Amino acid sequence: MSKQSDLFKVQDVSRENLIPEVTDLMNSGARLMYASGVDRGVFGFQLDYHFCFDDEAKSRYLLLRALVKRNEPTIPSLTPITTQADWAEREIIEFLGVKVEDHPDPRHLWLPLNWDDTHAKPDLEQNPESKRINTDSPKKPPSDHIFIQPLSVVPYGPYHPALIESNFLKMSVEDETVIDADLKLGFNHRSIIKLMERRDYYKDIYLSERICGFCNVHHTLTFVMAVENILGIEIPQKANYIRTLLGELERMKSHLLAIGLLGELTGFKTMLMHSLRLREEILDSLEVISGQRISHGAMTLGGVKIDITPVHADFIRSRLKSLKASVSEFFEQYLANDILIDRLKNVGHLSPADARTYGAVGPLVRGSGHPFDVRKQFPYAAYEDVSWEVITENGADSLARLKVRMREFMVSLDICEQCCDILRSVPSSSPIVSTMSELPCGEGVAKTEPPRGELLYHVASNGTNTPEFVRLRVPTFPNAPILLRLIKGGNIADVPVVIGSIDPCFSCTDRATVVQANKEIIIQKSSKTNESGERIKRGGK
Amino acid sequence: MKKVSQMRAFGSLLSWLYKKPATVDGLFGFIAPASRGFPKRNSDLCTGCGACNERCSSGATSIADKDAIRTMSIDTLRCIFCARCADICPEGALDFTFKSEIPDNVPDNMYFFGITDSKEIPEISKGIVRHICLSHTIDEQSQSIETTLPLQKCPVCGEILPVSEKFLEVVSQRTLEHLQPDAAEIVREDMKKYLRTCISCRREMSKEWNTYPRKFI
Repeated sequence: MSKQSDLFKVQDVSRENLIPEVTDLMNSGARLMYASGVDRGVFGFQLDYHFCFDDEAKSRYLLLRALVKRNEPTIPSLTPITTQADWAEREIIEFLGVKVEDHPDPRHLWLPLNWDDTHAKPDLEQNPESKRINTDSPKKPPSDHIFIQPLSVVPYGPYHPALIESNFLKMSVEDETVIDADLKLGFNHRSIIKLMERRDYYKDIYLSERICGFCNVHHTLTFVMAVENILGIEIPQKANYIRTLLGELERMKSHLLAIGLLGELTGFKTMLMHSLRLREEILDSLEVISGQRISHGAMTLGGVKIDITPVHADFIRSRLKSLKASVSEFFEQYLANDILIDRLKNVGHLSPADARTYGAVGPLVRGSGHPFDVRKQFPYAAYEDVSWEVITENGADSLARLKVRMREFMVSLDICEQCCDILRSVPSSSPIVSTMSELPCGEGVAKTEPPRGELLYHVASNGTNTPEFVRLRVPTFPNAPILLRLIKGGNIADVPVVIGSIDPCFSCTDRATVVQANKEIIIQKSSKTNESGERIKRGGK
Repeated sequence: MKKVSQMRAFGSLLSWLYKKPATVDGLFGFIAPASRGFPKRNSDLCTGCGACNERCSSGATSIADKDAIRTMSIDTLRCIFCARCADICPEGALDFTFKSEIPDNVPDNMYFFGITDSKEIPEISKGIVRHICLSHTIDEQSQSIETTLPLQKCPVCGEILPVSEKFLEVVSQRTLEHLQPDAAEIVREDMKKYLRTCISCRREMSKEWNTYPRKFI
């Protein structure tokens, strides 16, 4: 059933040809989803550039692979061509020590700002015991441009009461207008993808489930799909329907909370309480299927682990029926509030052209009028067998993104009902797991559409019981740089609204680092940097 | 249209004044019927092979060898109830169930894992049955499911082998079942001698016992 592997293609590219090749691809409508780097030991560093083509009906998947030498790890930067490469290249700089030439903004994003670069001091790589964090007083102020500008600075996080996630948003403010904004991540290092390389595939399923609390079904689903693509096995049709049902229940759960949170961020707390009340119906359904409310442990290689009987299907059907009536009333009342609409309308405007240029995914790009949805373009599970439509809105502002979520909720509800009807008629003896064969060497990619956008897994197998490497890109990764662009130039009171309308999940994004435990102070105080009187220009901007 | 929904919102607001709170009492400790339940090991079947320890993704299982005794245990507070150990167990010794025996001397205020009988599930809401709690504080003893098995001693030199007696028994039985009767007879005689000895003794004595594997070729 899974046809994703047919659309996948790997192409080697040399260091010199990278820029012309990528320029051609970008001109032909490609989107750079992710750039990942893998340390291949004596062979050097393997850099993978993941492209997809949104304009094509069935989106192709192209992987450009460049190998750089270990003693001379340099690669030209793609950020001058497309800003979509910005964060991915900063990740490569930080974690692999590859010198990305001409990157306009090579500051640390995950590592502490005064973390010594590997390629600046090559002996650091040889000596793992060496101190990586420079605790001496800085000769020049760390390249943290926000705190040293002669403007008011509003810090937002790392653990801000309004956004209980580990990001650090800094805004320089003039009167009520946000002049500049910057995001610092890395407060929640979990090194999950490194841990996955040490554990076998069955354990990795449970590890991937714990990357995100909201999208755990999609994380496990994408991981097992990537491994199934290496194996090239067929999944039983019933398992595909169960996967679709679980994924859509999760989407409803997440969208409902995102809608409620947007109400809370605009001072409309009643709506959060109502959304939580309605969300219970979905959580009950999931609990009846799997016995758990959040982590279900439902996916396994080659199928699913929990069966959905006709009794379960009937129960979910009845819950969805009551949900359908109450949710449409909830949405109606939500949108009947004039104050809320005024707070959302024309706030965080992302024009359709910008959404393409910056590589937005999920409700963010669909709110700007592009019908991009992995479920249609790169079909997986049983999405080809149920009838549904991609939701788009043309408003391109926070209100449009809210409406996209609301309408997608109703579409998900419809898909769930169709899945329940089919699962009720399927004989209970039909298999839900296909038999596994030995895992060959090879690599597989898988894409799914979690509630927040496009999720990408890239798994390589070397024939042993542990993966060679796992790389993943969560939907917040491309959306968070856009969040900064939307904040800039706006009113400071609109910042929570914009954040809420994008619905970021920074804990997912923070998954990838390996950091030695070090409790020293990592961020220099702003007062120190002001004393030196220097102003650091933000590189290239 | 907007006026209508605003009126409706006002109406529902009034109706909420006369309704009870949406929160439900006594749900603490409720466990869904579809939940896999808690791990339970049949000590008669367990051979201490360690397959469950290999497959456990949360690190709840552990094997400890001490004083010629192997202790297989599952920390139920670390267990995520994925039931992979039950899938992989070659003896079918592990099971996930709600039923477990609660010793009589457990105090009532102690949070306990598992309930005595499935009939008692409705009584949870009345607060009669002890709470089932998935979280715990530091002072609380974690509930573990333990099986102890004696380890094999080498009959020649007395060294303790890293396998249990029962495991060797089961393995030899299973091997002999799959052999032709005449070959099985020879292998059975050989196994009596070499199976329970340590590797170094096995190498030294193989000529004397005539158990070296090349004789079959």
